[in-house]
Amino acid sequence: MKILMKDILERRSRIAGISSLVFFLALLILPFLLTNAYYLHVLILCMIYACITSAWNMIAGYAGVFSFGFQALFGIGAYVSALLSMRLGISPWISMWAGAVAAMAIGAVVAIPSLKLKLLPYICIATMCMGEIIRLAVANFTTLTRGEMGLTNIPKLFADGNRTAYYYLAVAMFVLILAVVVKIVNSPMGMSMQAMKDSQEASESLGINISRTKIRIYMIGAFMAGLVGAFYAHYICILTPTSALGSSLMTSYVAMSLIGGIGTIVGPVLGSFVITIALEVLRALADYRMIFYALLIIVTIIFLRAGIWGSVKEIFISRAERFKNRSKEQG
Amino acid sequence: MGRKVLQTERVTKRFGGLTALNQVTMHVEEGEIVGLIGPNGAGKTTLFNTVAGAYYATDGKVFYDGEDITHMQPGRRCRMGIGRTFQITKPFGSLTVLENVAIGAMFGKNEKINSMSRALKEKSFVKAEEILEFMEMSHKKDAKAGTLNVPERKRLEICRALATDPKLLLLDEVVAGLNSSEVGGMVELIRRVNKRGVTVLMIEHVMKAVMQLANRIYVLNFGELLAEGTPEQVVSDPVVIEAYLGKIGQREAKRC
Repeated sequence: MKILMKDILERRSRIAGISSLVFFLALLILPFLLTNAYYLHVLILCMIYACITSAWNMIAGYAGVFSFGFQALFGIGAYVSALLSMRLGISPWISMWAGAVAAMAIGAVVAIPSLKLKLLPYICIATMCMGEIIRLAVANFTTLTRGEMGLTNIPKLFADGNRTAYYYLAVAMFVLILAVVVKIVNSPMGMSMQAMKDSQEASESLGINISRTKIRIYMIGAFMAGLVGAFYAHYICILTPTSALGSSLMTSYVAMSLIGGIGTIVGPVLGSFVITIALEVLRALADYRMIFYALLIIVTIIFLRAGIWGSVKEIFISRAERFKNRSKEQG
Repeated sequence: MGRKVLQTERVTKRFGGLTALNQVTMHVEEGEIVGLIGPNGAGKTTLFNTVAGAYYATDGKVFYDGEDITHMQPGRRCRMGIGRTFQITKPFGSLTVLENVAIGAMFGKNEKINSMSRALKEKSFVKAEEILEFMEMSHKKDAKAGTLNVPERKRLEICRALATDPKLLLLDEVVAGLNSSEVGGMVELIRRVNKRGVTVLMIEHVMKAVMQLANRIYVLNFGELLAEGTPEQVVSDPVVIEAYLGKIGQREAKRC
């Protein structure tokens, strides 16, 4: 046992690599095992949430910039791509990228003034207002967006609406976004983000340009959110301001990050899968599901402050370290 | 006379109606260790903050190496060669000691860096190991910075600042709060840092440390420069005794 623990601590990165490989292989094989298209649909939703929650967590969990208007960037990506493909007849494969770029541009417009604010509550309020303003604008600009009537018949990415094809595209997007998040978090930039979260003053005194770092990371996250939103638009094919820009989406990202473990890579993914699947399983309970949802959040916040994955990690590392120290003492 | 690394010209800092610094003119020459002393609330840390960039001076100018840096961002000042520590230590608590120091090495030196570069990260960790070795902190390198005790945190502050390769190091009460044997160790360390070619400006209440280290001392009181001179001159200055040291303090300082 002792040797095992020590090994695990030393080979952490390799273990992480192997287990994520297993996870992705499982995702690739699943369509062959699940014949029910509904299951695939749930998994696609899981991955959509996992992508955007990971992007949000990169900004909030790692850099400590709590943006509460992130759903708007998702919605911008969705609406821009949908409208471009509907009104101008651009292929959704191309308009998706335009949606992502639009979200990034809006992200920059919001980020440049608001992220110069250093105090967290101001950033929260500024981004939250931005989200609401965008939702209201889309809901009221009816000539273009049809308001709450919603956009329907948005062009599909695959002509026959092939679930399996969508599923594999979702896997590709999920892997890509997660890989970028991991790459950033492990880079010097990722370290500066974590430093910034702990002390902005100290990181500035060590040469980090904190507003530039924040704006950069926010724009990368916005691009991801926009891309995921565009995918969502061409997958679900119906958009309303409430479904694509509602603040309940934001609540989901926060809840999923918290329950899975904010500030970790695995946490938001775990949270997204757990909550999305749980809500589908409990569909029979209709709106009473929300009671379960609320309870889950309350219980996690009280008993698992670091979220499911964060807590597992903490327990594991402290135990492994204890073993390490003990074996050191024994020489 | 050596080259002036740092020079402030009639620096004034007001917070609303409170004048924390009033027309402070001082300088630090290359290779020196300069002490900055004075009663609590005299404006010592405020002066540090206008030099390091955490505050901008309301009036007057700050020159570093001949260049006007009065309104420059703190990050850029660091990359130009001004390192600082914080009186109330600010470790990156969720990172390890080694990572804390490596961050200084990553961002504190160069204006243009590729912040996705793996090579930069590796190089910085090597550099951080060296600094921890030099500062006798290697045994703590894998500990989370949040778990360190006060003397260790102060030492970490210096390590981090050193990792940015400063020409001028601002030390804000790194000796205060240490017990007498630790004071000796810290004094020795600061001397070694200075020998590496780092000019030091230090705020300190522990007279024993200032007397041993400083070439020159500035005394601040109510935001104004009260006196300056060699340690011996300053401790026998009646104005300084009146405002800060007191009779007993003077006796103790002279004994050092």
